[in-house]
Amino acid sequence: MIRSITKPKSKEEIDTLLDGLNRIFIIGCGTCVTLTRTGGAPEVAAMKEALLDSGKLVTGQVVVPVACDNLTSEILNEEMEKIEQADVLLIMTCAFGVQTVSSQLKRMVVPALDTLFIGKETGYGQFNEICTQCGTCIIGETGGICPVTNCHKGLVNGPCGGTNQGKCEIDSNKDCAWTLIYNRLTELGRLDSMRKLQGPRNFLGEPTPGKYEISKS
Amino acid sequence: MKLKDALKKNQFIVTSEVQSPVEDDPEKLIQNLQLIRGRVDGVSVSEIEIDGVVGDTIKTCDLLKKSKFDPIYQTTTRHKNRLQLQKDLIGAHEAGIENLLVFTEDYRLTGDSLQEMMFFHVDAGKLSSVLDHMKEGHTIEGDALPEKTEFLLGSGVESSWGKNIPDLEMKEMEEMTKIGTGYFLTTPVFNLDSFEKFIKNVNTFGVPVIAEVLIIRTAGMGQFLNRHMKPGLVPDWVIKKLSQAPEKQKASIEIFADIVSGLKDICQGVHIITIGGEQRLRQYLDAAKLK
Repeated sequence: MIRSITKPKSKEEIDTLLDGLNRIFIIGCGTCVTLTRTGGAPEVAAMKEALLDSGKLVTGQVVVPVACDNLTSEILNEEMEKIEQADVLLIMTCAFGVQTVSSQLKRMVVPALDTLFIGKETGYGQFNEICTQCGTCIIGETGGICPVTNCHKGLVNGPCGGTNQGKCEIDSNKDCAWTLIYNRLTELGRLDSMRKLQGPRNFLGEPTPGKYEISKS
Repeated sequence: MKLKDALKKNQFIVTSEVQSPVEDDPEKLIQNLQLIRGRVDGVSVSEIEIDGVVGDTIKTCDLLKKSKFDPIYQTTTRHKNRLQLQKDLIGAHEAGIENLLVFTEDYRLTGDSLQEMMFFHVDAGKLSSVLDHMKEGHTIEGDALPEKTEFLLGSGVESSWGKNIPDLEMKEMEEMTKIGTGYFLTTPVFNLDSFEKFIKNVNTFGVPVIAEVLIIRTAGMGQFLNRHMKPGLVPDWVIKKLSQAPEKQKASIEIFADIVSGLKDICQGVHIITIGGEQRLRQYLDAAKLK
């Protein structure tokens, strides 16, 4: 299952964002941020303690099942009394959750996390980016491995000179995508598709902000 | 003699790299280079610097041309999308620059401006699309150019051998050969044995290979490059020799001359990176018996 992968913002940044806002309601999420241990029940409890230690008042906290779901407002309505006592909602979810809550409750929100990428858990406590959602999928020619996402430089004509024993020059913990592609295409007997010079990448796959309507497709 | 003609005549090529100064007058740079006039086939002016900012590269190329040097406009596809690349190449052509040297460049991990966007997506495919359009006399948007624009293209390649699947080592060069590169310029060479293995495999492309040679003047300089450019770039034996030598400059010249002397039998030329020491380049050329 794809997940929204997050990491906590620094204490300094959160302190700056909460400057002058003393009454806080904390919202966590039971899905992706619980998996990444950045906004599940234990992290929300720890955040509450940290805020109390720094002299803030926590009016309440809740861990909603899926923060980015439209039903989140129904759950938050049950907490409305405590939410209304707060100056700000400190939201320990990915940016999708923060924006969902913000649009539903129309209240001041502060994100406690940075959303890094959309990926999946590939090992215990390890998360890898799988797709950058560029809108111009080319993996039909690369053995199903995406160089736009997995090559650090996003090269469509790889590898570059920085490939080193199957790893990337910028991080020896990261695989060289083009070595993976080479090996996969070798297995498939389709190395010929790697020998073709790819033209310029189309960056107009879907202009930001993305919008798609079935009726117009 | 122009670089293009020297390549045609199969001469051992000597080129050097300078950077367009930001604070100093570029005329001073030209004065320093006067000491080696007639001894280099081309001078490349690099548009990238570890600290981020360089002076006006095309202006410096223009000054070099007026001073009877054959300038090489050295740019990177790292910092430019196709529109910017095209704009700069048209400007270079209008300034009369005939030589172009292009690197994809490394992902920036040190130096200034690390948060800035890097256009790595502009790889060989994108470069060739810009060059192909200009060669036919129009821009990528289809607008006519005053004249057809063609450069002698030099392409940067990684010369380390044995760190990849052998078949993959050649792929980048295959692509650049397809887009009509006039010569390959390698990453810095210190180890002649591994470089010779590399050359044996790339000779099949029929494209001249020019080896990059760094002038390392002190042990500290080597350590700095290893720390900020690439770990292991300058080998320990170079750093050790420089740190133990009573006369640093003599040792530096010896290292340079030994490498160049070995390269004369292996490849078609050398590209010398002086790292700011252009005024001393003549002594290095003398020691290595380059022209």
